[in-house]
Amino acid sequence: MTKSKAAFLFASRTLGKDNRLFMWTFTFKDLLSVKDTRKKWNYLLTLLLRAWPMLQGLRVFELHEEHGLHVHLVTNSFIDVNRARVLAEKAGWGRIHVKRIPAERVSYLAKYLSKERVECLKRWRLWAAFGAGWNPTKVKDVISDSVFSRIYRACKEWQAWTGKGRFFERMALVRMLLIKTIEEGWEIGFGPCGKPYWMCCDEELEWRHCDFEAPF
Amino acid sequence: MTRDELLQHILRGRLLLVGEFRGAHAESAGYVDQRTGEAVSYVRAIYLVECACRGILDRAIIRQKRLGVEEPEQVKFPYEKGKLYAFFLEGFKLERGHFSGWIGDRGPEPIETGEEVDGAPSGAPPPLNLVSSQTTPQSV
Repeated sequence: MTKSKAAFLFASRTLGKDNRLFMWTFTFKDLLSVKDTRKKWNYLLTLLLRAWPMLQGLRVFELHEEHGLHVHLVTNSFIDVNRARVLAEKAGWGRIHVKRIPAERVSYLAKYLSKERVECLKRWRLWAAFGAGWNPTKVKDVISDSVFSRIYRACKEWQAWTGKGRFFERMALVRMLLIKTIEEGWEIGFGPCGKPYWMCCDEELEWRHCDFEAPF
Repeated sequence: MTRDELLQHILRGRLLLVGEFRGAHAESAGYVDQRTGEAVSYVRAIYLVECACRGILDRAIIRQKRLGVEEPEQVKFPYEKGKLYAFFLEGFKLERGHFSGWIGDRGPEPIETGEEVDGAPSGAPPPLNLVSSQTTPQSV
């Protein structure tokens, strides 16, 4: 699971607190380019928010293998589907499908976030929250908890890492310590005999500072 | 698993990695929402395998999500350090020289080693990539 997907799940839990969710799917009659679809989605969202200013929800882009990019939407309030259809037609959209879902089923949409990101969607926000009056979880609010991340945090403190410099060198060090931790049965985030990393000598950690990064 | 069975899997096109088991660890991995304190977590096993998948002997890390397991302590690793195991991979990535793979429900399977891995029948010619010190002069 990625951090983005976890943030989406947290945001969807917030959205579905009163257990009343509606899942919408917006598609096109014709196959459109990804950029055109995004433009049309922005226009449709503007129209929807004008018609229902209190509308809150989450949208997910899905690039279908045959039907191109389409949009899934989860909202927590009922809106008139006929009126929404008129707005969708005005914004150039084709079919609309809406279904009431229990809050726990919202994770269904998260499966689209698990797909491998295709080249044309690089740097895109695959999901986004919209609507005023609620505070959805953002990716920056989410912290990862794993053996790797705990070792990373211990290393960050030990090496006084700031910023994002020498990223791959950092990763190599953390990976090496992860391997040593598992192989030697060390406590997570500590060196041999439970010593903090800063108390260990390089020989104990079998770590040598390296000035180059692996090219591949 | 015998060597023949292993070969059958390879010939069927199964993606698998064979390596020496070096250690394992079960962790409770997941994400925490700093604002609400909510968490999504799952138990994951990490296997450390020594193999030469990039031509040089190196450690590979293989992860396995353990569905239905609530606590990392419940995960048992009945594997022997130093023994060869086959890992049926669901996927892998090779990033900057580091191999990371992940497996599904099927755990590591020991490979029965009836004979030495590098053993060759007596009288067989040496592999082509080896240079014999008997035929190559060390100094002129």
